[in-house]
Amino acid sequence: MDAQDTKQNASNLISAHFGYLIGEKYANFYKNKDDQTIVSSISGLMEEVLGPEKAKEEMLKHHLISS
Amino acid sequence: MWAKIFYGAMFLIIAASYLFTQSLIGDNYILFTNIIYQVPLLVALVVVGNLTRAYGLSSPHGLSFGLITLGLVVWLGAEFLWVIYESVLQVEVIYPSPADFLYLASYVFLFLGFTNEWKIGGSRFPLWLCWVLCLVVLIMMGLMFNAVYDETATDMANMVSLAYSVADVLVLISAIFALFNARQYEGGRLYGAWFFVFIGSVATLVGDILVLVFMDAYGEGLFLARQINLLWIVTFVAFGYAFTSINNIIKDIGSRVVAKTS
Repeated sequence: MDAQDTKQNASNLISAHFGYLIGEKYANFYKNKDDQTIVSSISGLMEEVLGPEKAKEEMLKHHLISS
Repeated sequence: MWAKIFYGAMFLIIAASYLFTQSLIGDNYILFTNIIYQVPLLVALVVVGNLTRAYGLSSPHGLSFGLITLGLVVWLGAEFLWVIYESVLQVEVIYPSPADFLYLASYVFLFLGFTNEWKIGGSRFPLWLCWVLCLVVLIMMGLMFNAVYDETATDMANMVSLAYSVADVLVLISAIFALFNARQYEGGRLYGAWFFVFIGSVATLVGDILVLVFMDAYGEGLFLARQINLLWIVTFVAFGYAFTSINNIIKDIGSRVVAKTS
């Protein structure tokens, strides 16, 4: 996956669930991170807030993981 | 933790006021309870308004919370009108009054907010639940309308009574949507918040049904019947707590990035 896509997709996912301001903060935070770090970070975050099943569903929907 | 203490204390203080102050303040009881009734509604309104601002109306969740905010604003308007009628002007209100139209409008906005939130979640009802829900809705509407229809009342009064029956169906469906929202977040922090929204919705439904059953006593303002108001206070407290929880989750998530980048 394109590194820029991962950053954008991660930021979009966070914006969708926590608002655009938080999404922008995380977009800035993920600027210099690699794909694996981003996916690992956001996966933990989503699982904590949305629960494991919903987190997986949302990560799939935003193309951060593949089925 | 502080949210649990705050909302728990708020409910206990208001419940104690309803149950134990009549003998202390006599004629001012109705005005006093009408005023403190507005407090948890106002708190819930401010909290969900803040959520709407945090998400932004252009976002799907922001739209849900925006509609819920609008529903609570209109509900507050209805309650404010009722305070004016009952405690300030002390007039016998002819049914239906402008407050009734505001109550009905508030239910519609709340229903639209919960529906949008359920739609975002993408959870589906199993087919058997759809059939059960249709049956329950038909029975509810039949029983409620039969109970409220008054041959001696005006057509407008009977139409508004029917509208209240429909509104309570919307409350039932909203409660189910809230429960499905909670279920989709099972294992996550949002589960608890949406479960409290479910509890708040159920409290409103039970309150509305009890008013229907004890309509005369409630209309006369009898002490025991007046305690039904505590159920709507449960609604406001539960909503306030739920939306505060969601606010706290957002703040917590946001603060982690600040901690990481500082």
